[in-house]
Amino acid sequence: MLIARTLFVLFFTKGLPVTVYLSLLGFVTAILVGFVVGLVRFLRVPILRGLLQVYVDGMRGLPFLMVLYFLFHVLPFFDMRLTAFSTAVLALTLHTGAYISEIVRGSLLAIPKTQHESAQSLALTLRQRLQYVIIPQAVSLSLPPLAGQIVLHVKDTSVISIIALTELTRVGRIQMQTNGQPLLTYAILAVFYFALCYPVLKLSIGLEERIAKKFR
Amino acid sequence: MSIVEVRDIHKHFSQLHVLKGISFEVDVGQTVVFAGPSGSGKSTLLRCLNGLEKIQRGSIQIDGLSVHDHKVNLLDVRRRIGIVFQQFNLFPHLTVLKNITLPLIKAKGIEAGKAKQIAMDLLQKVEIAEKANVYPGNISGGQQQRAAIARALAMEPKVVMFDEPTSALDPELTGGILEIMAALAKEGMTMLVVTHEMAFARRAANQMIFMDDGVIVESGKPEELIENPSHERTKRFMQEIGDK
Repeated sequence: MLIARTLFVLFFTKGLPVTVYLSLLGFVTAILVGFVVGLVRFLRVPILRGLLQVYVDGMRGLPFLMVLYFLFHVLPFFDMRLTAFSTAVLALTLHTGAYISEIVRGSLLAIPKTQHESAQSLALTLRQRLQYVIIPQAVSLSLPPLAGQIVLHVKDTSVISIIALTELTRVGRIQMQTNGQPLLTYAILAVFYFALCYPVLKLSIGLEERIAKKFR
Repeated sequence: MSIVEVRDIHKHFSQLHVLKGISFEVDVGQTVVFAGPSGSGKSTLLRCLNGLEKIQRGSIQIDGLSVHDHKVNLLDVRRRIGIVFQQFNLFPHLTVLKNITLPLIKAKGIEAGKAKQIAMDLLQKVEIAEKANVYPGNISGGQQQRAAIARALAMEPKVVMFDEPTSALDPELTGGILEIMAALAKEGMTMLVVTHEMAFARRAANQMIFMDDGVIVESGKPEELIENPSHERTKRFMQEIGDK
């Protein structure tokens, strides 16, 4: 039981803070990227729209691990030396941002054309229509899938252990090698991830039900 | 003095020729009812008038502004001409009150307190003042349409268009809406109304325009067109409507 206690303490003090910090920071920047990319693609801004589609399709078509490796090993060749942490945040932002942009775009597209027309007919400018009519409605539609995306995002941070960043998974792997107790170690690690993700999953389902009710 | 002038407009949806040379004028304070079978282009015509649809030929003047002229700001046109839709199209995330004050504040630059005053006065007029702080999803269709009418009127437009305003309502709710519209016509509002309610046309309209297949078949006093139409197509339509 001593091993279990040591593991709990280590996960809690060394791994969890990094995983949580990485997840939150990466998600906030990914939301910013996703919102801008999704909005630009929704508005079909010429040129930008095509470039961003390449970005989104690229990210969605590549494994996260490859994106991470690419940034970690290729950027230094161009004299861009980022810390492991910065590389991780950048990779998460680019990767999750692409998925979020699709959620944003989909939510904007889901608002009926009649809402646009009614706002247009009331002499609102494009900016006002988006700001006061379309985006507020799209935001509530996007919350459940966004919550689902957070879960995927948190789980993706596990891959980051590969570039020697001491987050939860890496702490677990190192401990397993010294204590020789893979089952116990990974079981406790699983508890940590599950405790992080499950409430968000529940939240996502709850939001879905609430919104379904509201828009019925 | 005419406030709406439509001259020989043509509208195509790719291959489909929807409006084939429509011309008419509406004088200040007049109510014109547009009738005709579905697909005859009535709704499209209204949507061309406030620039929701582009036209390929012809011209439309609203209160002296050329709607489809690139030099004219569509926002100026839309501040002059309101529209009430068949499906109400209220903003579901805003209360009834906010639905009305939002465009007042943002599109007309009216200060929030004043906007609320205007909105409440109009809600009183359409008899749903007690629903001011309720969301559209929680009131009946008839009440939603009242709110939509109040929202259009709050902008103080010179012309109001109604696109089948009672078609989505239960029969027992249509009367109240038509009542409000008739009162509005009597007050001297200039109105363009697409509707199948012939009783309303007789009672409130100065002129009726019968459309079919993208053209105006005939126009005249409502009672003439309803009782004694000169064209076969109008006659057939009035019989079909009458049978219902």
